[in-house]
Amino acid sequence: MATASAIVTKYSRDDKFQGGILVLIALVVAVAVLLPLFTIFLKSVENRDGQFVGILNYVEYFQTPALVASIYNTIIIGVVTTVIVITLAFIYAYALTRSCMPYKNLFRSISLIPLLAPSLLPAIALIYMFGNQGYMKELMFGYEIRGPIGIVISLVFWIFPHVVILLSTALSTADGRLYEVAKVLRTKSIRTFFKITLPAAKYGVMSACFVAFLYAITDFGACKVIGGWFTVLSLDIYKQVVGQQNFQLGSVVSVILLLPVVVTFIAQRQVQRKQTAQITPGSVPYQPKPNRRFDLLMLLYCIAVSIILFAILGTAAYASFVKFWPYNLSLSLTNYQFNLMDGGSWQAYRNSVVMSLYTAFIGTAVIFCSAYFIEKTRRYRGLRSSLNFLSIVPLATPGMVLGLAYLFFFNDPLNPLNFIYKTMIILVLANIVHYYTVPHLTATTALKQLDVEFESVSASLKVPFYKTFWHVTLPICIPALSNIWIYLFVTAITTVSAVVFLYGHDTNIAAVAVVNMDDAGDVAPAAAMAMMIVYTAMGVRIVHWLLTHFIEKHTQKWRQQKLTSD
Amino acid sequence: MSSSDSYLLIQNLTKRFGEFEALSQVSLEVDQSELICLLGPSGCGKTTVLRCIAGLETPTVGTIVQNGVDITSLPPEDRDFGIVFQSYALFPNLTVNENLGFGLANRKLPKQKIQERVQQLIATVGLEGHSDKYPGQLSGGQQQRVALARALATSPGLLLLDEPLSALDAKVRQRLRREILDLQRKIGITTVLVTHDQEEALTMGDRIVVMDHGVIAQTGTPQEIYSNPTTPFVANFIGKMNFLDGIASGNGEVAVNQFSFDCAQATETLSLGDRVLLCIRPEDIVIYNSDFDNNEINCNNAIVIDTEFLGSVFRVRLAFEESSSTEFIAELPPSDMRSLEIESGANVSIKFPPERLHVYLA
Repeated sequence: MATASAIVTKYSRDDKFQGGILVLIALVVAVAVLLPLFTIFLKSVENRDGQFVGILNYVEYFQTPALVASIYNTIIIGVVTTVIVITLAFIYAYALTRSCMPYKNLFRSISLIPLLAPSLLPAIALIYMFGNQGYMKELMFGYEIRGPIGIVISLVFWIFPHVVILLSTALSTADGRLYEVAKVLRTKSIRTFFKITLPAAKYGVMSACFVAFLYAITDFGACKVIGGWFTVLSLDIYKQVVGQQNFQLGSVVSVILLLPVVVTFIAQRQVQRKQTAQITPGSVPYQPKPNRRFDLLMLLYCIAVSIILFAILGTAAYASFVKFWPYNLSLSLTNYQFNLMDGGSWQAYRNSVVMSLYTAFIGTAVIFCSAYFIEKTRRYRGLRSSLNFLSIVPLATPGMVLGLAYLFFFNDPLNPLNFIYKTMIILVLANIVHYYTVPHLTATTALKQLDVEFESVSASLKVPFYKTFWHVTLPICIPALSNIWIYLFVTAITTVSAVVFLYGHDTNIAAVAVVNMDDAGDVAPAAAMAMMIVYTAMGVRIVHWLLTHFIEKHTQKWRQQKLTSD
Repeated sequence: MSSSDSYLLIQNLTKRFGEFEALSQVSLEVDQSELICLLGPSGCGKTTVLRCIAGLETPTVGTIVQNGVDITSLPPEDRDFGIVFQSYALFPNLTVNENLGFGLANRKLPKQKIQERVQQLIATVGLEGHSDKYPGQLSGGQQQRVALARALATSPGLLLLDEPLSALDAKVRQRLRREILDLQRKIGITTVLVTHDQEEALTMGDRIVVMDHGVIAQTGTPQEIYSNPTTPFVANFIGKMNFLDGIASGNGEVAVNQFSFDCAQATETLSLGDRVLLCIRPEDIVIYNSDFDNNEINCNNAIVIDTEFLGSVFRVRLAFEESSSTEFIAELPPSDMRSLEIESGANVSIKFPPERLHVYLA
């Protein structure tokens, strides 16, 4: 057979347009992710004058015992936090999915409250509860809350909702048939738990462990406020960069922090893949059966956890209104007069809201569109799969590392994009990039649920792809868009790590103001500012919920199935 | 038929995915207004052929000419076809009306013209009264009709149907087969239908292309394919067939066990000693009472092993002699069963009519 050169389909107008967009996305990824991260590595092998010094900075790092101790500290914090939060959240998720206790939806919502707060908030609250002038300091039995104990409790509070979500998903995918068989065989319930429940949820639990560990070792806010003498890696980055202006050592610490993060991240991806392969089409969903004693026990547990969550949030709220803790407990709004405080201002709060709105609106549009082009373009398979891979890189990049990378990259006078440094633009960009992965996965999942042949049908009807996108793809994905929007808003307004190196005089934001006021000793105003973030996140969430219901009622009518027979 | 007057001309179509050859040297001609069925088991490459015609796959080698134009390297947007997928791919958030108007709206036609055409399409497929419903509110059969109407909306020159009926119940499927066929005849659109359902292919196709492992096994009218399958694969895939191991014993005869059959009318040229498969369809076997004269051509004694009642026919399992490993199946109407008094263990005479025998080299 004559081997003529392989046939290449001509590029249609749609193909060319989509190719152009994909190249554009690749360029943005290069500028916003790859190049900045590369500069971190570069800085870590340079001296202050920018000359290559090999591993000299690393040698210096490992010869400083105070710094090396942080590696150990970080791992310990990660492990202890993970063990505690997984245990607490597992029982909570078990109650939500496997018991018949009342008010499940209420308890589900309560468990999500910490999502609305920066990790700074539990730390501040704990100081009011267990600090030197805390109202429950006797419970510490002479131990210091400032230090590892405070860090762990704050992180457990803050990571709790993330883990509850993951574990309830893992526990709710159980196959009811297995439990029926176990019952028919008269298996003891303890044995059923260890032989059926745990193995089925195994990968979900492991995945949740890795996620908890990741959050714990990369957190900055809680460690900053309540760490005291105790140092961890993310805090070292901040101290080296902001305190000592030692950018080289800061980047060395960043690279060292990246190591456990990347390892944990890869392990988590592996486990997650196994988890999804477990659900078979024949599975029957598990329906818990009422059991008075067990249900009551679970209810009491959930009430206890909820009380603790509310106690922490309530303490911060109360402290923010108290005139002068603990001497004058009368209530006032003095602490909310941010303009009178060092490091804080109402301007910072307004900046936070504006930044979060920009992040949510621009981020939703950009992330959804790029997910669309990556998922639904017919050609450019290689480019699309590499972009898809790169979209998970942000999830494995701690906020502190990303922030420092941006500082190096965009603060460089040679960079033509230098003008965005310390402006609202870089804050929004950093937030979108930092929180890119989860919305990208949400968008991709939504797009994958659409019939793969929509684009083929449109091509046969000679309708350009953007019309199908606008009239079909986008309207169907409104629920996903709405989820992405609120996720971006809440994470942007509560985050501090990615932006702590990037804000300028006019672009200070609320979460950073909390750090700075706390640093200056204005703990009550810091609590007030942290509460402003919570109020805002909560308010926006409620408005978002109402709006979503309204919009879905009016645009998703087609989802109501009403089958007529043939 | 010469290649110049066929509407769709496929030559040497080959598609490789890495080492795997999904299609190899597929050539095919489809006449204007013809309905051709690509039939084969899953993975035989029939859908790949359809996707190559649509431009959704690029063939590795080969040419596709539609209406005199070489379309091999054109993107789907620049080709002229309407397509119905197995999933229908109806836009779920658009009403029936909007789904049908979707391709028309892009043609810069006045709104009123679009509405006229949509109404006409709705009437054509019998969906009056459903135009403002969403696909999710329609039954499977109705959705199928919307998909068909949408594919026809822009009056394409070629209709591609990819397993269009496989998602439906058996009864609805039978009715829609008829409807699609009537519609196709009425508007005279050249159609390529992909199916794994032999009954669908036999009842709908003007011609059938049977595919196996990426190559065309046989092309022909339904009758040709059924009565003269050219390979054991086609014989086995379409309808039911008895396969008996035999050896060519010269003079156009084939020996099965110690019995000899006259196969002079079968097409295969045999030389003495060739191992062959002697094939006959169950309904072609003639059964007589055991006192029938066995000297007639291709007649033999046989013993009934058991019978199976299938409603309109009986299926009878037979062997030439007791405890023989060579078994075969005959099918005959209940009236014959009664008159011949056939039951398990009965001795009968059977005849393999020479003109009904097929022989393939084993």
